[in-house]
Amino acid sequence: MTGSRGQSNLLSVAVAVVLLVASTGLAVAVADDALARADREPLARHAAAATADRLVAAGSPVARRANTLRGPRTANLTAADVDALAPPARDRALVVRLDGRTLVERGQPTGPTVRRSVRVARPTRVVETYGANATRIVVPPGVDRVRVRVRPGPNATARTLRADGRVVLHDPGGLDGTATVRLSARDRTVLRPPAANATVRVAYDRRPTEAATLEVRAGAR
Amino acid sequence: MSRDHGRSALRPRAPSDARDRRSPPPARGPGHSRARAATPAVGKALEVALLVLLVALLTTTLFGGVLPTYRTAAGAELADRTLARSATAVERAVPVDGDAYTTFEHTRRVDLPGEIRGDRYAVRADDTTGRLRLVHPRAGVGGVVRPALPNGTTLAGSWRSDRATRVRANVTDGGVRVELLEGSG
Repeated sequence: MTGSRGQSNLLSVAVAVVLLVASTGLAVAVADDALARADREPLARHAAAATADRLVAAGSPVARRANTLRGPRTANLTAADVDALAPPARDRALVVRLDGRTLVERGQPTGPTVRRSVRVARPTRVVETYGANATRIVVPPGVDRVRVRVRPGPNATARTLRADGRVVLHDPGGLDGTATVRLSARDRTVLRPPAANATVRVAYDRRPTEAATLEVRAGAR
Repeated sequence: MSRDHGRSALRPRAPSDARDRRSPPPARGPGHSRARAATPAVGKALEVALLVLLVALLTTTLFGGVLPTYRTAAGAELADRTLARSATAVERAVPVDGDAYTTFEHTRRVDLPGEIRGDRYAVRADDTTGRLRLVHPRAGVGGVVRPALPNGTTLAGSWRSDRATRVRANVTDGGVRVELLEGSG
């Protein structure tokens, strides 16, 4: 013990050096980790956001108007459509989901997910036939065109069909057949049959919309 | 010495106290005490050498390898963000539904970082590919981005990071023209 006393300082210096090197190494490792976690993949996020924005914009092939998608058309969306619509998504892995349903899948993207709240319109065909005793036919709001078929009753001539008092179909020789009538979509419309005993069939598309979430996830190039 | 008021001097020393701790231990062999005389100097020299070595090693490792790598990595990340921001600014300047306008002109300011990794840089529009390219003197920093623009859009101009930057969109019959402009306008 007494023989090694002269180098006891050296021993503590060596221990301190080891501790310093170890703490420096640890600090570098922590910084490395922080730097790796700080990568938010801004270009992949930009690609996903641009794709989502283009899909819900008014000019998009799957949008009926801004932020409202055409439900049936979303099923036909392809990766080529998305590429043409949003150039940043080209050459990237891409997944487009609507309420968890996958519309487009190309590769397995690892980037951030961009979400947009949209409404999805799913048209349903409504066909109603009004018999001889019908006096008024109510078309709900949101319908801009109606297909009307008029069959006049026996011994009667149906000349005029009115919508909210406005004449939309008129034939002095008598209405008989089908025609398309344009209506205002803002409010409900009341159709007045041409004659009491005429049979009128109206057919129109209703487009009820429901809320959905569009998710776009893009990967690195 | 001041606290015992010299009383200790009156006390006779015990025989065991005769060997003070500071007194040299009894020599064990010939030449032992002479070899020990060199030890403090050698020990100090070794300590100094070790510490100098440590400082040199740490400086070389940190400034020679770790720090530039990190600066370049952070610069590359910032360059990516700058490109994404430039692309977003260009996209926002252009009306989504270009057909809705016969003529349209719009200029907006774009805020970009002045320097990336301590150097100025430029963002250039490449019309043939429809991309924006970030040009930086360091090789690891930079990249390209393709903004989402309507078909037939012309992209021109460039930004330097030390200037005020603006983007101008011009919709005419011939299509959409997007220009990267410098100066506060």
